[in-house]
Amino acid sequence: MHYSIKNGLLWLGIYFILGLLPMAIAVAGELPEFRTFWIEFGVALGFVGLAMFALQFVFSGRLEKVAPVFGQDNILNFHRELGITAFFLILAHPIILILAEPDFISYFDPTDNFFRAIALSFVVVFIILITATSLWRVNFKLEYEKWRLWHGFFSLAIVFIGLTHSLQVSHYLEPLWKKIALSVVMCAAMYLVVHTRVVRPWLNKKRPFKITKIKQELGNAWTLTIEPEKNIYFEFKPGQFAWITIGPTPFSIQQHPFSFASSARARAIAFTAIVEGGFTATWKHTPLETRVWLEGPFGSFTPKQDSNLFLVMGGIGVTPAMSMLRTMKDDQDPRQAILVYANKNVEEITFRKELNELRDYINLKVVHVLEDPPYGWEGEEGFVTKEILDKQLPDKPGEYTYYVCGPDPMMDMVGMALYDLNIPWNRIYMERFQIV
Amino acid sequence: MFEIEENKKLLHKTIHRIADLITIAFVLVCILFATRGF
Repeated sequence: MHYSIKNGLLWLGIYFILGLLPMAIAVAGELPEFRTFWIEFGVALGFVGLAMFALQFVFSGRLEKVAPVFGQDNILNFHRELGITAFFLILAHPIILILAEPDFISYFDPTDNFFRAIALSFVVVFIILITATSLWRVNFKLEYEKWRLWHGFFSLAIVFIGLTHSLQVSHYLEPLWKKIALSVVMCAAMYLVVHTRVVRPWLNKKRPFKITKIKQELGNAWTLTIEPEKNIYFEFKPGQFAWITIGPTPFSIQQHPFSFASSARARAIAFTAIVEGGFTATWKHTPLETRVWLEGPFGSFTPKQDSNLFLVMGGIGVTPAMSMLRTMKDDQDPRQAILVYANKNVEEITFRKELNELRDYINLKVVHVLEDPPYGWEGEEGFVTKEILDKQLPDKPGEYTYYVCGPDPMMDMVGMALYDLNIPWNRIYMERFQIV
Repeated sequence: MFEIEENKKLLHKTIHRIADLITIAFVLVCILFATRGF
């Protein structure tokens, strides 16, 4: 499926309707007495803020149906943007209410209602913490796994306390059916988190894999090959990724996304990563036969049936392209593939030898771009610029789909260069994981 | 470096715009709610 404006608008429309659902429940039936504009406005912000926060679970719930429409990268950016909006709306709710009617400060008064005051104070602190740690996780030196655990906990707590608060205030939620309707909607949203964090790992327990090979590649990269323990076939499309957990149980906070590097037709599944410390640094020391759990596959960074492939990859970002090319070899796919592959130097071209061999089996053209080329290098040098891409563009660019994966600055430059070269936006696919 | 930052801003502009539009639409509905204009 290509990205499309029609599908995008459809999902945005659904988002908008769901965002207004709690407010729609509030105004259904007989309305309570009107207070002042600012009080009612503050209440409305609370309903929308709560709904937006609950809808954040849809983006983080790894839903297979939503991801292909926008791309995982865009969805995570959207999640981030709307999270900031929800932050302001939820904080504006008590601020506007207290400014409009100072008596509302009693909601934070423990002598008035101890549990209510504590819960609402916690929500304010949680909202600030969840937003700050998401925007500046690296600055806070917070490990990804710990951040993810806290992110889930804070978001669930915010929505749960928000729901309880709405039910308890009850101004717009009489009669009982309104309370039930809002509870059902919010519980459905909260279930998405429980599904991702508990149900899916539990389902994965029936599908264990084991490490069968660990191999060092060029450029400080290591390839981890796994095979299913049972007689099952794990289906994925080349270019997709999975969340990997290594160890005896799938219920670990150590879960990381990696693109499949192997052919989608092979039973053995391979992932290749640069050893940079953290999770990947443990790969080379992990004993063979260790259990691995896969959650996925995810992603829409996949070859489209009706077009040739123009791949612009940087460093280890080449892994999804390797999966595409290896699958093309297994399928004896006659389509043209052009790979513009950027690396620092010759020694870091991770799959150099195999790419040379692949040219014997598939219609593949490889253009190496080296930042620090050796003496006498006749290929492209420096970064992947608009000029280099222009030179490599095929005669009929409309017959190709464009895939970009690599370090952030390269992706930004290549994305803009392709746009400047009049490649339609819905034919450019970009994949990046480092969002927080 | 400046060029990269500029490109990055441009690339995310569409998502920013969509998020901004959604925010404006939600706030407008909140005003409608507060004026009982529905």
